[in-house]
Amino acid sequence: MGTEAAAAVEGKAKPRTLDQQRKRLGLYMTLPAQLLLLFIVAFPLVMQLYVSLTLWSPLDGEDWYYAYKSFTWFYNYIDLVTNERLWDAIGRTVLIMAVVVPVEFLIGFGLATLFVDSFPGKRIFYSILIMPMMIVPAVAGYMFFMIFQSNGPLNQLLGIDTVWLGSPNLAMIAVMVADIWQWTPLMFLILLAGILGVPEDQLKAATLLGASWGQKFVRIVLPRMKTVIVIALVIRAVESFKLFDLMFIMTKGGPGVATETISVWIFKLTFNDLDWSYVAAIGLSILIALSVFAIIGLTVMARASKRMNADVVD
Amino acid sequence: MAKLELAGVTKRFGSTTAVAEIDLVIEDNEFFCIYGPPGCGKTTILRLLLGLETPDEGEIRIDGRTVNDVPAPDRNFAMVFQNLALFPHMTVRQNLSFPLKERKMARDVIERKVGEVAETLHITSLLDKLPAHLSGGERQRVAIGRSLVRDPNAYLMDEPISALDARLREEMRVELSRLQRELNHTLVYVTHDQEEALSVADRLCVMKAGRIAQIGTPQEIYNSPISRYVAEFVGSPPINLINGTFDAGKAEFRVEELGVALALAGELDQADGKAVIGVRPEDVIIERSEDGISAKIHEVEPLGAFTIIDIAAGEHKLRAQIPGQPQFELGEPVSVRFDLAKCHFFDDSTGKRFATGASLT
Amino acid sequence: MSSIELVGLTKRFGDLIAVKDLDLMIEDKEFVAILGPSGCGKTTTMNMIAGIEHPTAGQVLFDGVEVQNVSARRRGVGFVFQNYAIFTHISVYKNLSFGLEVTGVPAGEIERRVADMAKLVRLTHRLEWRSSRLNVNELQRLALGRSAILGPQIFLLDEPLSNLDAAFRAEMRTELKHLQHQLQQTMVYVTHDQLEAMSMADHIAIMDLGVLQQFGTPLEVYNKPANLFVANFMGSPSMNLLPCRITDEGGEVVLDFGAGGRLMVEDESLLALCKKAARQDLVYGVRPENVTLRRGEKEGRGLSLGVNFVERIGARSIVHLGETDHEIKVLEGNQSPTKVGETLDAVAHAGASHLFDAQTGVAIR
Repeated sequence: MGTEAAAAVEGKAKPRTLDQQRKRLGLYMTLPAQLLLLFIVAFPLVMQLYVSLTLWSPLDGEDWYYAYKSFTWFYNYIDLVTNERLWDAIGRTVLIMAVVVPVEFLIGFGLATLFVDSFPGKRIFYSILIMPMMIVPAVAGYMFFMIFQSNGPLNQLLGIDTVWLGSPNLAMIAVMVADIWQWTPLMFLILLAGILGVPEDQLKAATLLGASWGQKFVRIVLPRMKTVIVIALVIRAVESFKLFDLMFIMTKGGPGVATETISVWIFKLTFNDLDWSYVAAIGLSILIALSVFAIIGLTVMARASKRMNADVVD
Repeated sequence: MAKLELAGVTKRFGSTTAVAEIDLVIEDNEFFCIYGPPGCGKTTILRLLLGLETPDEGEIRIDGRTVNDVPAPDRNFAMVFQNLALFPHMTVRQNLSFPLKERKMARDVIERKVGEVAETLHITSLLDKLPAHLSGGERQRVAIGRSLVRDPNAYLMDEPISALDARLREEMRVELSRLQRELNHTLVYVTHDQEEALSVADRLCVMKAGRIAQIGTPQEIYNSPISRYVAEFVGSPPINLINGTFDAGKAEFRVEELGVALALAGELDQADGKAVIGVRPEDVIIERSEDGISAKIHEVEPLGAFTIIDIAAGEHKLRAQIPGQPQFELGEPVSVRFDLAKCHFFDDSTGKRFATGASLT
Repeated sequence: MSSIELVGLTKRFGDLIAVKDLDLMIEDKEFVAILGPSGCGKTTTMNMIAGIEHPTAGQVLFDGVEVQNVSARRRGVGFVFQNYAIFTHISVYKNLSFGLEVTGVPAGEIERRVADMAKLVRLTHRLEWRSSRLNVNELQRLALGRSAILGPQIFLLDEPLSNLDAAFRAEMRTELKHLQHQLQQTMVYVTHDQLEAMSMADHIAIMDLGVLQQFGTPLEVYNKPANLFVANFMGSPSMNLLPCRITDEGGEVVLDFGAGGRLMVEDESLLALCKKAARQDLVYGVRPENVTLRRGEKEGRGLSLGVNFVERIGARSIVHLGETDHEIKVLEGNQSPTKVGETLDAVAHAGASHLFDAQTGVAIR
């Protein structure tokens, strides 16, 4: 029994009201979780910031906490901004994002609308359709690596001998095709869930009021799916920014650095060059840059949803 | 089994006052209903009793002991929820023994207690069935049985049957009041359905906007409403209200347009001015003669056991409820009388009833 | 100018027969209630009239023209859903104008018609609101207005009042009836509430387990129920139904209620019914309002029963008498002097008794 409770029993302290007891209990019960969360989030961040301000590398033969011996202030960051390889990698990453996300969205949405009504063999088609998503990305990468070989099945089928993975532009296209193949199903699943979430009664009501299929889609389905669409796009945009496995297995960023994305570049820096303080600087920079984008994005979304929930609509 | 008391209880949520100055005594073994429109604070009273809310002012007492600072589990109430909250994957026996197993009682004690409770509630034959195979009434018995095994101070129920369809509700409320009489426990019952409130309660409390409007037996509330609000709120179809004037000198109530002049009996503490007469639909008498107020039939709703007839008398719309299936044509001219002994008279501004019963002048 | 005729209408969902061989004729400008417990097929029937469901067999005819192959979009039927199916993401105005916009009505006319309809359903002051903000009573009126604005000749309503509170429900009953008079439409109304059906409909179709049980005016189905189901479903409190055997004792016809007692039949209309009974096992029925309780008359004309419980519900009192399984209810007035524990003679009014075949449930007429 706690001292407070004992005191209360003896009548020395004024008993707390039920409301106060309840609030206190809530604090005690969430405290461990709050501390744990603080540790998980704060520690790696501080460590990364520390290392990124030095020239430390595991090759130095010293543990990471001795990194202050090679303290350089913002050298890594300054070097980073002027490094063309970084900007090229960002450019390629954004290009991939800009191509695959819209394509996946359009195909996924198209397929999702087909799956609203029932048709014979729907279940089988459904299973086949979501299968790519289930395959380990490394395996998918290897599969496409084989397909796009100069003497691979694709060239044989088309009767040509194009060198896909060996030429800079075609290698990009090959990787994009692989990514679209693998991740359209996810888009399809999210959007299908969204479409099915549109109340059926409202669609029936619209039909009975004389609305055609297209009118129902534009006036009921699309506006009701706004949130789901944004979520699907955000998830895929973030994921495609992190694209690594497919790329690494199919091209290793080659030929040369022609398909090198940020992830692939960081991988090379980490495991080939062992330049860990530089990697820490890149990681932190990307985190900050993405956080800024995320905050902007969330503010826009919050404002939009506030407008949606406003009493008066325009 | 306990006597429950609320003395001067007020509860605010931020700037809104949920309930104000509630004085209420619920007697031991009483079936007590709290009846009011949505948002009148009836559920707040239940939550205050249960200990889920703390009153801002006033005291809550169980058998005379103040329990304001006693947490909910220690008040030993049994709350029966709207969905009854039986565990669907357990048999009736397992459902009943659950609270006892939680208390780590010996197996033979549990078995004996469950047996006793099942006997009391006449559900012995159902012990090995799953809740899904029970009727609504049986499920209610099991839900009550589960709380009975631990002998609570009182049962609290918040609209326990309002989600059911009309026919089932009718059966369940009879079942419920039978059960309460068998168990002889205090039962506090919150509802917004007046048929339920009137039919089951020993006494009921009519609420209005966080305050008590009237407390009494169903008969008292219905036959002697304290105010226009209670008269209007209890009774379906609602009471007919007609505006008129009261002359204190002659003790006379008049409605000029209808040619009504009534002499009020007894000592009246009421000044000259506007007043309202209230006539229950079943006290409106429709005749095919010339004596009463002349009116026209506006609408006839035959409901089988009785017929609801809307009548238009000049600008006034009256509603009558007549037993059986009388035949009237729409637009037919009729004459209307009131059962004068049962008419109520209310002050127009305060809404207070100042007289009941009258005679023709 | 819009009658609805259903001919041999059947709907199966897999093994389940939702509606079975339904024949129904709904005349032009009539208000018909389809009444039954949940799962009786009433909503499916309505959906087939609207064209949302396609019948497995049978025909739907509007004014004698088959429409079961016309799409729901082109049937021009007004439909109010139980949950109203309001488009909550757009304004009240946009909800009202929806049907006009999608059918290509010119902008000026839309504005005028929306304004008119808003006035009729009393939502003018809410037009700019997002419809999700309306309360349930307003949603109900919006749902009505949104369909009515297209001026359909046939209006279908699926339990539109079941979400409303009791006081407003009573008000809406009257309002709906007046609206139907005003709009001069054929209205079909689905409900599980017999009181709603009784008070509003010109005719009631009572369904159970997908089968039509009886079709008639409210008083016809109330006074002359075709079978046990209808007898039990119509009326509140419900009809007293007691299983009995018919016996002949020295020329006198006697109904034997087992533990419930015995009744010598004197009422002539009941006597006539008894003579028509083909079997001995019957169910005797009498409505609670058609029983009188008498004190101290030992003539054996009624059943002598103990009072268990008296429900006093304002104008009415419901007296419960007799043993479990043979319990009967009697309707008395506000001033009923009956007390718990009394033993009284329950006497049925002349001509008010019903007899049903215990096996088939069919009423003996």
